[in-house]
This record gives sequence, structure tokens and C-alpha cells, in this order.
Amino acid sequence: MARILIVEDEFSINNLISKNLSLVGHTCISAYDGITALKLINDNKPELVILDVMLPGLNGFELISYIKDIPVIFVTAKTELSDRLKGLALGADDYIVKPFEMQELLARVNAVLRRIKREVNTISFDNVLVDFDSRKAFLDGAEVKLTPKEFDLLETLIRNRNIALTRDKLLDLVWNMDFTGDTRTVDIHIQQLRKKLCLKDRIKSMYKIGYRFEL
Amino acid sequence: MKMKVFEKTYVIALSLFLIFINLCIIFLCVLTFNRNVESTQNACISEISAVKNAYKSDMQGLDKDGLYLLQVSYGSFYSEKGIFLCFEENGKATLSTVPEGIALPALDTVSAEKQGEKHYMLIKQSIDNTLTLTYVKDVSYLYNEFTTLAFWYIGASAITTLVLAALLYLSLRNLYSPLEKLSSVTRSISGGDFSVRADERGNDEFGGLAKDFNLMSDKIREQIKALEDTAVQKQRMLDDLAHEMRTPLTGIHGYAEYIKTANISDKERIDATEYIMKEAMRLKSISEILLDTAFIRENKIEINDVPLYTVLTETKKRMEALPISVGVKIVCNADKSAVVQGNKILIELLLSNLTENAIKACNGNGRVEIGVRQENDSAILYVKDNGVGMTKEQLEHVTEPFYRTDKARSRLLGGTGLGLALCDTIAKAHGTELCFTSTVGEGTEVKVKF
Repeated sequence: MARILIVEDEFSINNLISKNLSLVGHTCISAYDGITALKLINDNKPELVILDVMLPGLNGFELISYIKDIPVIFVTAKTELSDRLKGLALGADDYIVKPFEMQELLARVNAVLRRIKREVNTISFDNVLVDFDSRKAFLDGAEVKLTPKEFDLLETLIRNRNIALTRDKLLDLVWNMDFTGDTRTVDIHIQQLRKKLCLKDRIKSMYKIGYRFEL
Repeated sequence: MKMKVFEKTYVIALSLFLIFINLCIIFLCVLTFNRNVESTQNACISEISAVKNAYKSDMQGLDKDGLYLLQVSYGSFYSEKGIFLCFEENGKATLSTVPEGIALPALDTVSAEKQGEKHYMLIKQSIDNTLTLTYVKDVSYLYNEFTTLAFWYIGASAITTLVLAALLYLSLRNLYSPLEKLSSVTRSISGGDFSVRADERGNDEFGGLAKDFNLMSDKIREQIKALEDTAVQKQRMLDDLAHEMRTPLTGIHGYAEYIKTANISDKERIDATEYIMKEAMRLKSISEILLDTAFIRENKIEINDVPLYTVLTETKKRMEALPISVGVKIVCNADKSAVVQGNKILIELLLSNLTENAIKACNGNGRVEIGVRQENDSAILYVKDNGVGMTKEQLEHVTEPFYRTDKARSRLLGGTGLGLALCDTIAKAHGTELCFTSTVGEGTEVKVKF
């Protein structure tokens, strides 16, 4: 998956973002001030930068002008529309305001990575191989027929792996917002996936929460 | 009808003036006329006497016809001079040149008669026991003169009135123009434009009024400015507060979400929980300090004798027990007799905050000196460290709420960014202020003068 630089002077927030992104398989590098961030950008060539605006040394708005060809997501406590517009005008790919939900950040990171085609297109674990480009799944080398919704559900679970997703969230992400179906639909599809790809140990039911794909 | 003071003054002054000057003119005219009438009367009386005497001397030895002829000659002689005579004997007219229709007066009286355009003055006197003479003089010229005079007076009065009206208008307008200007300045100011000034020239009441007015305008402007500044400050404080709360809230929410949903070890779970607790505590202390600051600012504090020695030694002990004090030597330098006027609890709070900042500035290796010394009859409470120090720019902002010289370190140590703002409020409640001297790399000294 992607190599992501997190520039945020608040240690705990930096750590939190880093932990969450690592959970879903990204490699994270942390910087706590503008100068170090610049050095890390040049040395490590990250594929995505998550950038706070208020930073010691160089602030986020100054720093972004030094960043070439790397997508940037601003994460900031500044809520004013003018700041948001300024951030986007300077070439940021997205802008997210504190306080935010981790899933929102993950979704935006994924969206940016998809746009620059840096998302992984295959993943294999145990005796399973999933190809996101051709939308096919293989068990012991043989293709397993999945319905489109089953595949979407699998992809969503893998992309948010190690993070529990509620049934409602899954309905949102897989069946889109307007779907008024029962959360039972989710349960049925999960059961199908577990059966078809032998994922009983991978897709865990979380009491009172939902499902988590563990890897 | 709405009239300006200027117009009222103008109308009142002009009408009073006109009434009095015209009354005077009329009075003078009438007086002159009466005097003329009187002198004419006197002239008539003396003339009739002259006529009588002349007639008396001429009538000596004349018979009836002779007398008649004499009366005729007198009559025609005086007629030419505009004087008419009427001789009567035993009440019967013997000769009369008096124009018809004029009633003759009683004996020894003077009367006036008017016939057509002509005015006559009549006097009747007796020449001897049987003969009376009535003397009638045409005095139309007196009335003509009066008419002419009156005409001239009216003309002069009219011209004077016009000139006076014009001059009065100009001078009053000139006199009242500062009032008009002041009024327009007032309107501008009530419209919010404080840049206009009243004209302060002139030593009269208007000049004084303008000066007072400008003074008032300045004061109002200052107060509005002060109110605006306070509002801006409050808004900034509120913005800062919202920003300050957003970061810990993001953390709290994020870590809670992390604990709830992520596939993590027990150790990570405990770390995350600890972070949540730490941030919650920081939010709690922010709210406590804000409440304290507001309380100190709003309420009158109780002032007693505060024994600084006790406060300092207790603070030293308390500070030495803190984990951040490891590697920092705290020295207390105070006289047992040092006493200041103040609130003990607040001074303790002030000293604790300043000492804690000093310890933090030492980065676990240094020396902090707290104490009291005398300078020019006043006690100076001071906290001195040999830590990182501050730049001039940092010093300027150091007492602002949520200002931190080292944001990341402050957060790490659980600082709220409000400590010095609180100290500043405490110092102000004691009628004094914080005085900083600092050099980067050498350390900082904070002094509070009591």
C-alpha cells in the first residue's frame, strides 16, 4: 500500500493518524514540524502527505509550495471557509477539519490514492487472492464467483482492514446512502463471503459493533 | 412653524427695533407739528394785537362811512397776505373777508377750521365795547409741511429698515454660524464619523462649546475604541478557545473510536485510554482556569497580610515533588519577615504557575530561584531560571491566553497555555503587573512588585 507522511505537531494526533493508517496497511512516517517534514519529503519520497496548517518552523501553507507531484490532504483545526479555499487553491487534494472521524480520513486517503492510481490492485492472504482491477477473487488458484455486491463488500472490508465497521457503515459504503434495506442484508452477504472464500477466521463479528476484517 | 434660533433672534430684534424707531419718528413728527401750531398761534395773537392797535389809532375821528372804508381797506390789505378779517358791531358783521362757510369762534378763543384742502386758524377779540375783530389765518402751509415731513420720515424709515434688516441678517448669521457648523458636526458624529472636528476659534461661548464638544467627541471615540478592542479580544479568546478544544476533542474522539473498532493489543488499548484521560484532564483544567480568571476579574479579592516566607517555602516543597522537577534545583531566597498585602491563595497560585513555567523552561537540567527582595521601599516577588529564555517577540505575547512559546512541549507536559494569563489577572487584581526580563539561552526572570 502507500507510503504516507504525516505532518502534525500534536504528538497524540500524529500518532493516532499513523496508527489508523498502519492498521489498513499503509506505511507511515511522522514529522512534527515543517522543516523536518521538508527533509523527509525529499529523502523518503512519500506517496501522500497529510499536512497540518499550524506548524512550527514552516506552516502548512508555506510547506505545500515545496511539495511537487505529491498529493496533499490538509488536516487542520481552522474551520474558516477562506482557509479551506486557500488550502485547496494552493494545490491540496483534500481538506479535512478537526475534529474528524478516522473513517472519514481513511476514506479520503483511499479516494486520493485511487485518483493517483496508487491503490494496491491485488492482495493475497492465506490461500486467497483478490484482484481489485478485474474484480475477481481466487481460492487456491481457482476463481470463486462473487456477486458485485459481495465483491464490493469484500473490497470495503479489506481496504478498512483491522477496523470494525458497523452494519450501517457497510450499508453506506457498499449499498450507498439511499439504500433503505435491512442490516440483515449485510449479515447475509457476510455469511456468503465467509462460506465462499473460507473467511470465517478473517471476518470477525464484533459484539454490538459490526464486522472486522483482520489481517 | 419651526424657526431656528437665528431666525427668531432676527425677527424679534428687527421688529422691536422697527416698532421703537417708528414710534419715535411719529412722536417727533407730532411734537414738531404741535410746536409749529403753537408758535403760529402766538404769531397770530401778536398779529391780531397789532391789527387791533393799528385800527384803534386809525379809527380816531372817523364817522360811520369812514370806519366802513377803513374796515374795507384793512380787509383788502390783509386778504393779500392770506389773512381774513371780520369786523362785527354788536354781534352783526359790518365787514367780512372770511371765506364763506367758516364758523366764527367765541370771543377771546382760538380755534381751527378746515374747509376743503385749506386749514384756518381763527381768533376773535374785541376792539372796544361794541366792536369785535375776528382774525382768520390760512395755516395750510403748516399741514403741508407736516405731510411733507411725514413723507420724508416714512421714506427714511423705510430705507433704514431695509439697510438695518440686511445688516442685522448678515451680522446675526455671522454670529450664529458656529452654532450651525456645530450642529452639522453633531450630525456627522451621530452618523458615526468621528474624524470631523468642531471649529474652536473664537473666545465666546461658541468657542468654549466647540472645545467642550471636541473633548466629548474624543472621549466617546476613546470609549468606543476601548469597547471595540475588548470585543475583538473576547472574540479572539473565544476563537482560540474553540481551537484549543478542537485538538483534544479530535484526540479523544479518535482514540475512543480506535479502541472501539481497531484490532489492537491490550497495551495499545491502555495507551489510548490514558491519552483520553490525559486530554480530558487538560480540558478540565482549561475550564477551571477560565472560571478562576473570570472569578478573579469579576470579584473584589480579599486583601490580608501575606507572609511571603511561608508561601515561598511551601511552593518550593510542592514543586520539588513534581515529576517535571527532576534534575532542576529549586532555591528559595526569602526573609522570614517579608510580608505583603494581598490574597494568600491567589499569590500561592501565581507563584506556583510562575515556578512551574520556570521549571519547564529548564528542560530537566537547571536552577530555579524563587524569592523576595526589597527595591525602593517595595517588595519584589521574583522567579528566576537559567532555562531556554524567550525572544522579545515571544515576551510580547506571553500573557495572552493560549499563547505557548513551545506548543508541542507544552501539550506534552499537559499545559493549558493559560497559566500566565491567569498570573497576569492575579497581578492586576493586586494592582500590579508581571515584569519579564529574558535572554534566549540564558534564562528568564519574572518580577511582581507589591
